[in-house]
Amino acid sequence: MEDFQNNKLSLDELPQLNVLDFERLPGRYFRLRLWTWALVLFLSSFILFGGILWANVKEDVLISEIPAVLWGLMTAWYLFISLWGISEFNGFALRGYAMRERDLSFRSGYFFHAYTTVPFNRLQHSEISQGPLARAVKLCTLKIYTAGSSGANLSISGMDPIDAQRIRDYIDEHGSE
Amino acid sequence: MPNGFEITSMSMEVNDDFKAAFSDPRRQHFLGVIRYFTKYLVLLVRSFFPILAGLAISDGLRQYAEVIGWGIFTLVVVAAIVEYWRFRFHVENRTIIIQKGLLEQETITIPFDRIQALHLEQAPWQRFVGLTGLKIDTAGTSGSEVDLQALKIDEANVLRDGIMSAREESVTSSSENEPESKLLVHLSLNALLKVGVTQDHFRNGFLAFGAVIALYEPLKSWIDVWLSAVPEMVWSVLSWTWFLFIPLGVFLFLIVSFTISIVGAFLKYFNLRAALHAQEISLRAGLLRRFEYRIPLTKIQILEWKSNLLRRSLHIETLRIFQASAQESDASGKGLAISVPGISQKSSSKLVTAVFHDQTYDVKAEQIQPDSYLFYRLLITRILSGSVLSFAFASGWGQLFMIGLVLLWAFWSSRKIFENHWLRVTPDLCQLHSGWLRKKRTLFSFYQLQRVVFYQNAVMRKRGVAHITFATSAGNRTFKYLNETDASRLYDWSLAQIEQSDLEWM
Repeated sequence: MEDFQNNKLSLDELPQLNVLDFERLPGRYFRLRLWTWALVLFLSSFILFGGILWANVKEDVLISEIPAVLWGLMTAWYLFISLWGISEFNGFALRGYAMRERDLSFRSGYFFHAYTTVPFNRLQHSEISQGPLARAVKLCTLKIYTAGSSGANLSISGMDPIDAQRIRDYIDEHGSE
Repeated sequence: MPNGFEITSMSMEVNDDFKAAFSDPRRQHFLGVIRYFTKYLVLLVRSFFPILAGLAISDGLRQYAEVIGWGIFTLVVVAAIVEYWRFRFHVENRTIIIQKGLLEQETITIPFDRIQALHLEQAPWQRFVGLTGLKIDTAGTSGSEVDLQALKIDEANVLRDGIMSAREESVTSSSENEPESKLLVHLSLNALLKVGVTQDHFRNGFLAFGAVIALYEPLKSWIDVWLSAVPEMVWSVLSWTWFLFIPLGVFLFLIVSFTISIVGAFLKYFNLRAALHAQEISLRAGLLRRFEYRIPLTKIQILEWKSNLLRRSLHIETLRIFQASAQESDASGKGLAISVPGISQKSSSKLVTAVFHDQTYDVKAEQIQPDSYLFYRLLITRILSGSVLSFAFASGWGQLFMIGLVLLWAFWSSRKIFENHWLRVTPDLCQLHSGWLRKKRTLFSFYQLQRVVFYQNAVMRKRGVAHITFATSAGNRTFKYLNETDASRLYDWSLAQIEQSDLEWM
């Protein structure tokens, strides 16, 4: 263990994970996420207002007769939707991955931001998965597994399949010896 | 027999015994049938409980009770014997091969290298007939944990030692067998009493309470019958005077909790002996159900000490040893961790040197405090929850007094918790500290980490505070509310340590 030589490294010389290192995911993934958001917004509004309208016209329920709880729930729902929208709009710029010689990092989240790094020499296996929707828009999810937990420890969704494959190839070459 | 088993340095007679005894497929001791018998009996009774309850009540069926009873009995006996008969195991080419299955034949092969640990466990009935169970703990992602239920004790020892030494030979080339072992903990009766008395009685009491409630469901019919026998008078009196029984109940609860936790400690930790060997740590204990665990030192990922006020005053702590696993380790870490109660400071540091041998522990340590954000957060939550209490309970001067008390308590406890929340880093090791009355410290080495996570929510980002999570293969440990710069320093440091290291992490 003599050749370990950790003590030589001073903190300033240490490689730092820089914010600029992170690469953004393709723009079509951004659009896909926004479309999902818009679809949920549209569908839920359709059901809510459609329901109220239907009750008003067919069942002769006056708007004033609608219980306050329902209004409260609707407000909460729209608050949630708008917060979700904000995090989608602003969060995409904060979402991305960084590939370095010896590790792969992923960051995401606007209100709850986190970044994770998996060193290649701790990697158990990797996986590329692609659902039907993702296949249609040419996106995929890269999953990286390490020991000690059952799920994927790093899961990058919305990657370009070619980039994902490239990363995988690199990992296979340079990963755990 | 194929090669791969020719290990020169393994003590010859163990090797020969081992080979001779286990090279051909063989069955367990015949009395293992008892185990399968009880297993199937319990399984049948549990799954057909409603039908059995119906039997007891319905007159029409009761006349057939004897026939049905004998039928079930024969079924269970046959199943037990068949399962026993079809369960065969042997050792071949550094793998243990098990064939089993009641209806379908299933073959399980476990290479020695995948075996994490071998545990001997002896239930009372096994002790009575001189047998022991051997549990094979694997690192497999499929739940392929295997139990051998009935082995003679000396056979089990030969098998266990044979596998372990064969396994260790492949890992390291150092060949000293049976070096001196250091005793870490031996709980004498006196020490056991100390451990028992200083337990968390409340928690044990609540656990027991939970068990009683869980038992109520299957025994419901009997309890209801018993309750309905109580005269109506008693109930009407009780409906007026129930509150008188509250203090009595609390008192009883305390007494019962205390007794249960003491008895529990005695049963579990009786004659506990933890010893440190050259390559592994062993732990054995138990009054009725005995167990013996061995964990190879290289598999140990996290050491965690916990202590409460009472234990600290007696200079003992409880140590939990977490070992590597490919499987999900849930919050409790059950199955992966063994706990050693009543360990002294001296033994702990012996163990630390053994586990993290060359890695520095005392030199160049840097202590990192959390951001003051943590203090204000603690303070605010305490004041808020405390003020609810003070408004609910008093008015006028009393209320003022309560508010004062709450503020004082909030300040004091937040200060104490904040002061005790810190992190100590040496180039190789990281130690997390937390807790005020109930202290906890966690020790792991950087190079054994699997990944690192940096977390911030919107408020924390504004304040420049972050959590950092260190993930090991035995579970995650998070240090909360660090200063952002400290957190990213630690982050980069951990990564550099993992990536530089070419040591085996398990």
